[in-house]
Amino acid sequence: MTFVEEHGAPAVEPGTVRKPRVLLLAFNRKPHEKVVALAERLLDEGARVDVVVLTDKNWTELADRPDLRFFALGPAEQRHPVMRAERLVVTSGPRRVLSGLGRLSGEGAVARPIEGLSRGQQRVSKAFHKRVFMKVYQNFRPLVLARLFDRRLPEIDLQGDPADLIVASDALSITLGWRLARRFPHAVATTSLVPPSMAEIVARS
Amino acid sequence: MNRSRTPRRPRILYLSFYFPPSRASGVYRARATANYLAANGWEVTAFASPLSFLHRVIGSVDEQLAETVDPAIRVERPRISHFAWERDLRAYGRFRGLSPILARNLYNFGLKKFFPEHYLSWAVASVRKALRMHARRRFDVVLATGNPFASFAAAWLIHKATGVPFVVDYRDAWTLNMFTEEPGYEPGHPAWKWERRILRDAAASVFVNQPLRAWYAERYPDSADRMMVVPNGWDPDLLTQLEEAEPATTADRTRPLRFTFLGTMNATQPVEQLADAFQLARRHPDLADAELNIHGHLGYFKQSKGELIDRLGLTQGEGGHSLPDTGIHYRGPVSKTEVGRVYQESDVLVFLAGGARYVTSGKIFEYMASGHPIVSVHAPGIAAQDVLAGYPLWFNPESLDVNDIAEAMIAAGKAARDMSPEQRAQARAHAATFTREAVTAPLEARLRSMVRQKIAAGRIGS
Repeated sequence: MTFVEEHGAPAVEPGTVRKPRVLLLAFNRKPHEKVVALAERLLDEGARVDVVVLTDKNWTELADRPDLRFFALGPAEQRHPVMRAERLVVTSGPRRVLSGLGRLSGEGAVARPIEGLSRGQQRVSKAFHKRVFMKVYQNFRPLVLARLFDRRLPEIDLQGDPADLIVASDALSITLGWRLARRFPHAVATTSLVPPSMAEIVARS
Repeated sequence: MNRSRTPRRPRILYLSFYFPPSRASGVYRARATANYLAANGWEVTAFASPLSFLHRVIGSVDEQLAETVDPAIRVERPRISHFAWERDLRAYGRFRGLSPILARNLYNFGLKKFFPEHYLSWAVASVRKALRMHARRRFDVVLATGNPFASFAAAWLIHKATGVPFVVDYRDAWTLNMFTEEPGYEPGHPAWKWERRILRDAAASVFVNQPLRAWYAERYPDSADRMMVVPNGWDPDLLTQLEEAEPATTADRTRPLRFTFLGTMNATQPVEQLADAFQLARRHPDLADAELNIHGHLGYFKQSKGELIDRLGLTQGEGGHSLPDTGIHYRGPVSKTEVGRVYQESDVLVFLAGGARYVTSGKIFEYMASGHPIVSVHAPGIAAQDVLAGYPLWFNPESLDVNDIAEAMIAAGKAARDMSPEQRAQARAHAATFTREAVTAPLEARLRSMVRQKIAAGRIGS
């Protein structure tokens, strides 16, 4: 996971008033415009916003805002044992076997059936990945992502500088949001994209 | 042994999700119907939404309105799942917290397979509770009001299980989108199947206006002879603060006019046209410094307020006032018991409504009862026009053109300044034909006709 410090300011400088902190969880590859609007609103209200994302490349619109930091998972999900096992069994394993067979058979007429098999295997693997594996995996993906993020959360120091508001903006981020909500009982934790104003949240705490 | 038995009153189960202290716009019809039935010898059991739903999801209640419910009415509140509305992550259970997508898919499967409405769990809980109560003391008839239309499905299931006749009251249309005037669901949607079976088996179906009844009669001709119209009407017991008008004094004639919108403003209404027309009308000398006071809720849910504030042009103001001062003020919610005072302090009422042909709006009856000039701000051809047609102080621009609305506002303002007590009495006489008692009586008679004759006549003891 990479912690992209856009403006790298320390969370709280000594002698200054603490700005409220928001953890915005947005795991969809392309954030919904309402999520982007919420981030903007929270920044306008004077909050420090940490956006937890799978990738930050679709957030360029807000990249130059001060007090905004992105916390990206990067390729960690691809390296998860479940994904690696699926690739091994469904994609790379059969491909290696077939390419080995191809090498053994050499070139010419003998190799043709192997090439056909290889193309068929690619089609079947792709279809299986999309129609079977992803449909099942989608149900457990929030849990997988929550565990991956969880291991690295110490990097953003939620213990020393706890968040005042945690927003799980999509279905994939709910499990992480739910876990953080239990761990930080004083934070407002919601799936609403129209949460109370920061002033209201700070007044409550 | 000589045992004297009191005559058994007919027993009705009233499935009305929105019931006081809810402040939903349809709640007044439910309250009035239940009160009317109780006052006319019925033993009424109302099934309503849980209070936690009103507080946590809707976000507001009207406790004073709850006090106006006849204490003889037994109110039960079957539970409802908050799944579709819950936003607080801490309220999520372990299963939903760890498997949110699986939980959502299972929930959606229930909606697709059983009944396509988030209120399904309330309907299921209502059926179970109704069957338990029926086993102990028999209900004679079930009346369900929608929305939510899950209450219709619950009534149908109770009927199937017990044979008790049921009536459905369409406070709103179900499969008709009243604002676009198109079918509300695509062909093959489960709502059609449910509506078909419900109207096939219902002993009667009730609609709020004739155009709506006609739309349904055309689609369900086999049930057309069991369809009836019960308009919304107004509640004299909630308008007790209305006083007889006194002749206008010179000071009254010179002070700025007060225009009022009272009710729930929502996204389907021509809000911008109202604000723009008022600005235009205000340039006229007769309307100099006039105010447009908006009383009530902005939207049905707590998060809807911001958008409507923007649409009214009140964004920059504080406390609901516009900056610069456009004369438009948002005055906030009013308890139903305070409504009379608001009318008393108004000169002209603004009837703002979304949709057209099939929309009556419950508010218009109360507006007429106040005896003030009424300016229409809605699409022409709205069903409410049938009700307003005989009202002598109605100013209808017949369009949503801002200039036309402004002219109607100016004319209504003049009428308010020049109005005589006779004109007001005439206006109120028209409204008197729409008291809730007058409009509910035919429904009560129809319900009574479904009850066994001996019970209806009080010849069977309890």
